[in-house]
Amino acid sequence: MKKYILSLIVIVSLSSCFKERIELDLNTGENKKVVVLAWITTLDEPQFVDLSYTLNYLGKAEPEKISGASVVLSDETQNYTLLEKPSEEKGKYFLPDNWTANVGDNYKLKINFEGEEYTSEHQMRPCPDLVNIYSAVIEEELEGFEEDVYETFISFLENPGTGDAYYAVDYKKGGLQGDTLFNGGYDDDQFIDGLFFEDIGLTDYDRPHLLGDTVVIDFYSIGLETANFLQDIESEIFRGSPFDPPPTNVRTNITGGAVGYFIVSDARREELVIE
Amino acid sequence: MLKKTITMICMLLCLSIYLHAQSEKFTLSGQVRDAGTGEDLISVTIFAPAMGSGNVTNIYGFYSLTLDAGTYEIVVSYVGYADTKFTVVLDKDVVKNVELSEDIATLGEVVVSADKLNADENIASTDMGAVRVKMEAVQKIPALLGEVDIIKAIQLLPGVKTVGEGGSGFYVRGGNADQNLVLLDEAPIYNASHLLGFFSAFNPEAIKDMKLYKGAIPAHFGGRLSSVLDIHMKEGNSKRFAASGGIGSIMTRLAVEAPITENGSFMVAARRSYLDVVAKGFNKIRGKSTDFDDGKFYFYDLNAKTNYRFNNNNRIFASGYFGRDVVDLSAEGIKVEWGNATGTFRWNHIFSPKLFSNLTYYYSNYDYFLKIEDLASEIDWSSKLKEHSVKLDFGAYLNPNNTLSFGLQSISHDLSPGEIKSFENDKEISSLSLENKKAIESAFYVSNAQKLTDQLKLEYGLRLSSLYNVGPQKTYKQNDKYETIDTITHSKGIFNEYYNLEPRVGLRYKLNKSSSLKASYNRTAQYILQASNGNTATPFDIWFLSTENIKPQLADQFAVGFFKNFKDNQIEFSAEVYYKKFTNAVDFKERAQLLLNENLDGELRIGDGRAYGIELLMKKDEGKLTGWIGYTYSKSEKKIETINNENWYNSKYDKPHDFSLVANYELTKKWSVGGIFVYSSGSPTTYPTGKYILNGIAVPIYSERNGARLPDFHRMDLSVTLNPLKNENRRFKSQWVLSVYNVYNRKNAFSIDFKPEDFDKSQTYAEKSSVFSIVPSITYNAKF
Repeated sequence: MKKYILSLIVIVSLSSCFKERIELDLNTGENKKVVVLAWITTLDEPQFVDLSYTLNYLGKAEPEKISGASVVLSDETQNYTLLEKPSEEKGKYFLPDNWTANVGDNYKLKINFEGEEYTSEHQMRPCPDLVNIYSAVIEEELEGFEEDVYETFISFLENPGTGDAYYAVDYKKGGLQGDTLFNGGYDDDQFIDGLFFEDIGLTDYDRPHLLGDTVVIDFYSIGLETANFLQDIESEIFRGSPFDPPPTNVRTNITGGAVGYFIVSDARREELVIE
Repeated sequence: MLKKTITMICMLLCLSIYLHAQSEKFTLSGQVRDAGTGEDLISVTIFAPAMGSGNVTNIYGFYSLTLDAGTYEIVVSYVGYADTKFTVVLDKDVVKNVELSEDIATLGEVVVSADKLNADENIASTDMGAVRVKMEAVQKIPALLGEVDIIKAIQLLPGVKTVGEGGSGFYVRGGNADQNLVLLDEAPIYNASHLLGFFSAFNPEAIKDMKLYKGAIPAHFGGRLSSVLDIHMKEGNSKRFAASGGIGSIMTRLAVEAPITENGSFMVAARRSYLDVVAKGFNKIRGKSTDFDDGKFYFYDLNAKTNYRFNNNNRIFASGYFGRDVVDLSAEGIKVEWGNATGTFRWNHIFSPKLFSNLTYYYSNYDYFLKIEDLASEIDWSSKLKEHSVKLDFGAYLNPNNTLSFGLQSISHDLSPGEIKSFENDKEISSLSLENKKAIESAFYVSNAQKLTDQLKLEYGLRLSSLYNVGPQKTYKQNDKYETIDTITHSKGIFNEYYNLEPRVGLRYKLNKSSSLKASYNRTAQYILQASNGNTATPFDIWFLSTENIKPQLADQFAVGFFKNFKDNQIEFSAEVYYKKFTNAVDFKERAQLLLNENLDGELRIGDGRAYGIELLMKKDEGKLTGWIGYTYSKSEKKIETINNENWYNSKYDKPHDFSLVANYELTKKWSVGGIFVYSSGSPTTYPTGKYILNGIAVPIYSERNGARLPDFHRMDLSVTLNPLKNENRRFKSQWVLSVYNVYNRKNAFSIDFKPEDFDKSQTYAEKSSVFSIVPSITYNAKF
C-alpha cells in the first residue's frame, strides 16, 4: 500500500520524469551458476527436473543445458533416479513411470555434477479439493474486447495448521498456462488458516475467457517457503520505484551454490466450460 | 586511547579553572547587532590590538572580553561590515553594545582592509569541518525552479553528498541521512524537506544564519553521528517595519518583521507552493494528461519568531515553525498529509559580564496521516513523533585565553509508530495500533576553548550522554542469529539504559599570519534512527529508538587540516583529511519489512562502518566575484552481518569524486550573473550479473551489493539577476532572477532499472530514469 501511494505521489509530482532505454555492459565475467528448476507435482503429466546454467542478464539467449548429471529424488521410503530421455531436450531429467507421490512426505533432491553435489528438501503438503467452481462476466470494460468476457472463481477449505500456501492459475484448454509465472496468483494461510476461503477470482484480466471456452484450473499446494520464493521474484522483477529497498538475490532452497528452487506439490486440476 | 583522551581533557579543564582563579581583571561585555535591522550578529570579532587579545560573539550576539585594568582601543570586525573602533577605560566592568553597518565598499569593489580581523577566522579558530554559510551567499546561487534553498547550498560543500538529483537529503562524511542533526532555533526538524525531498523545509526569507559542522562537533551538540546543521531564524527587524517576499514559478513567499516596542521585535514568514497547478498546465500544453489531474499537491510552511529584552541581562525569544505537505487525490479516494511543527522558547540571562546563560525549552513534532476512502468505507493511517526538551547552557568567559562552556539537556522522545483504523459507514470496524515507544535522552557537557600561546589554541570537552528506555513497553529478545526468541513486557519505569562518554578535542597551530594547521578528534553517539531502506526517503519513514537489541551507534572521527588565507584574507583555502570509524553501524536485512512492524529491531543488522577522505575548499566571500570551489575524494563502506556475504560494501552515498564550483559575479550595480557546476562519481547501485528463466520470467542474480555505479553526474546552472537602478535611492527594492537549471540539458541518471520486454518477459532491457531536463524559471523578489 505504501508503495502504491508513493507511486501515485511520484507520478503527480514528477510528470517531467524522463525514461530512456540504454545499452549497458553487464558482462561481468562472473562464474556461471547451476540452475535447478524442479517443480514436481501430483498432476498426471510427465514430471522432471530441469538443469542449466545461468545466462547473461541482458538480451536473449537460450539456456545452456546441463546433461549427464545424476539426479535422485527420495521420499521417506524410496529413492527414484531421474533420467534424461533421448526424445526430449537435454537437461531435462524425468521421474520414472513407477513414481507415485506420497502426500505429506518430506522429499529430498540430490544432484551430482562434475564433482559437485547440490541438495534440497521440500515437504509435499496436501492440497484441498476445489469446490464451487464457476465463472461470471467481468463488469469492467477491457480494452480489445467487444463481447462479454469472463473470469473464474474457486472456493476451498484451507488445511488446518499454518505454513500452507497455494498457487492457482487458469488458462484456456489446449493453450499454455500463460506467458509467465505471474499469470497465476499465490497466497499463504497467515490470515485464513483452517477457514473456508470463498469465491477467489483467478483470471488475469489481460487473458479473460470467452463464452464457450473450456478453462483449465490448476491449483497447487506449495508451502509457505515457496510462497516466499515467489514473493522474492515478484519484488525483484517489478522494481523501478525510488523507494524500493536494495536489490537482493531471490532465495533458493538448493545447497551447494546453485540457484533455482525445488518444490513438490500436491495439486488439483479442474475444467470449466464458460456458459 | 579513549581513556587517555578523557583523562587529559579532565586535567586541562581543571587547570583552566585553577588559572582563572589566580587573576583579577575587568570585563568588557555587550551585544553586537546589525545597525540596519537590529539583528544579533554571530561570530563577530572583538579585539584589543594592544593586548593581542580578542573574542567572538556567541549565537545571541553576546561577547565578553576580560583584560587588565587600563585604557584600550577596541576593534569590532565582521565580514561584510565596516569595522567599528572605540576606546574603553577598564577600571570596572563595562557593558558596551555595538552596532555594525554593512560595508558598502566591500560589497562592490574588491577592497578589504588588511587588518580585517574577523576575516582570518578560517586561520585563527579551532573549527574544522565547519562552514558558516550566509544567507546572502545562498541567495546568489542559481536554484532549481528559482527557489533559493539552504539545503541545496549545503550540498555544494565538500564532504556533503546527495543521492538523487534535486533531493534535499544530504549525507556528510560517510554518514547516513538520519545521522544529521538539523536544528531550527535549537529544535530538531525530523523531515527537513517538502515535496518528497525536492525542496527543503526552510523558507529563506525567515533564515538569518546557518552553520554546518561536519567534524569537530562542539560538545554542546549531540545525538547524531555525522553532522549538525544549526539554523537560526531572524529575530525580526527591531528598527522599522520591513517586508520581503517573492513570486516564483512554483511558490510564493512573504515575510514581515517589525519592532514591537523599543525592546522587542517579531518576524512572520510564510510560503505556499502551487506546483500542482503548474504541472497540470504544463501537461495540458504538452497534450499529456494523467489520471491525477484533478488532484491537489502542495505544501506550505509558516515561521514566526519574537523576542523581548527586559533589560541588559534578560531577554526572551519565542519561535515556531509549522510545515505541511498535502496530497489530495479525491478521485482516487486518497489524501495524505505530513509535516513538522516546532516551538522554541529561550531565555538569555547574563549572570555577570563573564557568565552568560541560555535556558531553552523546545517541542518538535513530525507526523503523517493517510486516508483512503470510497463510498462506504474508510481507512485512516497515522504516525507521530513528539519530542520535548529542556536545555541549559552556560558560557563562562574566564579570561581572554579561556572560554568555558557547560550545560545539560534532557529530551523526552515519544514515538507513535503507526495506527490504522478502518470504518464502514462511519462505524469503526477494526484497528491496528503499534505500541508507543518512549525514552529519555540526557546529556551533560563541559568544554573549554583555550589559547595556550599565540600559535597554539585548544578546544577540548566532554559530553556524557545517556538514554533511558521507559516502559510500559514490549520488547523482543533476540538470539545471536537475530531470531526473536522471547517477548518481554516491561512495566512502567526505566527498563534499559545506555551511557556514553564523548570526548571532543580540537587543536590549532598557527604557522604564520595567514596559515595554520589543525587537528581534531570527536566521538559522537546516536540513540535514534530512521527506518528508511530505499534510495529516496519517504514521508512514511518512521524513527525508532535504541533498545536492548539496538545498541547506540558510535562514531570516532579523526581529522587533520591545513588552512591558508590569500590576498589579505580575501581568499580562504582549506585541505582536510578525515577518517571516521562507525561502531554498531546498522543496515536493514535483506527484504526488511519496515512498514507497520512492531518488531523493527528484528529487521536490523549490526556491523561496522568506515569513511575517509580528503576535502579541498577555496572560498571567496567578498568583492565582485564571490563563491567557492570544492573537491572531495572520499570512501564510505559498511560491513554488516548477513549482508553482502559479510564483506565490505559501498554505502549508497559513496561517491568518491565530488567537485563543485559556485560563482557569482557582479557585472554592474544593475546586473549580476551566477553559476554552479557540479560533477560527481555516480551513486553506487547493484546490477544483476546473471539470470535464469522460470516459467517465462527472468529471475535476476546479483553479486556484490552496490558494486556498480550509475553514470557520472554533472550539471551546470546559471542565473542572471537584475536589480533595477531605480531601487538605489528608495526603500522598496525589487529584483528579477532568471535562472536556468541544467543548462546543457544533461539527463543525469536518477536510477537504472531493468524491465522485461513486452513480447518476451524472459528478455530484459535497461532503462534510465532522469528527473530533470533543462528547467528555466523566473522569480520576482521584493523587499522594503
